[in-house]
Amino acid sequence: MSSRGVGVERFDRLAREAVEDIVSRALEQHVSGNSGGKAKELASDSQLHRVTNLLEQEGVAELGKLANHQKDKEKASAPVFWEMVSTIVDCRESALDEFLRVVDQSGYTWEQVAPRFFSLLVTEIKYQQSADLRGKSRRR
Amino acid sequence: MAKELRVKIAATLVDEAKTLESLGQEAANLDDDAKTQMSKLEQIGLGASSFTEIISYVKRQSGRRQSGGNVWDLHFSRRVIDLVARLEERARELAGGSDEEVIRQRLPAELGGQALRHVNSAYLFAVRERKGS
Repeated sequence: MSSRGVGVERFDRLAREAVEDIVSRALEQHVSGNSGGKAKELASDSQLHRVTNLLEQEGVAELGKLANHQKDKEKASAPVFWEMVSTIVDCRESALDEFLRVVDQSGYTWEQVAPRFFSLLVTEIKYQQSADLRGKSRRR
Repeated sequence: MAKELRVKIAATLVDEAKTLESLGQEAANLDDDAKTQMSKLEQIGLGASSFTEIISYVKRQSGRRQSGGNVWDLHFSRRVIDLVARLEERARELAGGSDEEVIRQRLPAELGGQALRHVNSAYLFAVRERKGS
């Protein structure tokens, strides 16, 4: 999706709101399900990098396959993260409803806007993880 | 852009003047050698086609494991994000609630960018004051 043109403000704002909501919930779920504490983070840099690369090179369908594969793997690392990716790719995430409605109205497809959406998602995950880690280190 | 809108933009920046000044000072307290980063923030603002572009840039800098400098402290980043979110809301009011009008009037750059330009000016001045003449 071009980042320019009429509608980008609305696209971006709705995407940002959805992303903030989704990542906050995923982080809460990750923390509450991780009291024994294996993974410190919702997703590692390499996992985030993998998502971005796959999306750019292969498209959203392949990302969906990867997410489903990863979340079904026994002892998969970052299960909450892969479930989140899978839910987003399949548009089963209710926080996406308004964003997708506007995308649909504008004539774009989910496949076209997914790279922009996931770019915001990756940024949000890094930001919230970083804020969380810095908050913890300050509390110590 | 209509004169009336220009006046409202200017009035909004005046309303935020104390915040813009204190953000510049906070940045100078955090890192008095961050001219490039502060200048980049201003450029991102002045070239922004959406407020999310600015917020996303701040989050990217703040979220980096090894940040490009000390200026992207969490508290400072959150204050910049809060400022831009407030300006986004104000821009929508000025545009009569229309996202299309926000873009047509280039309000992310005119309001967000100009605000960040003031922050950078306040930063440069604070650094200069600190280092003396």
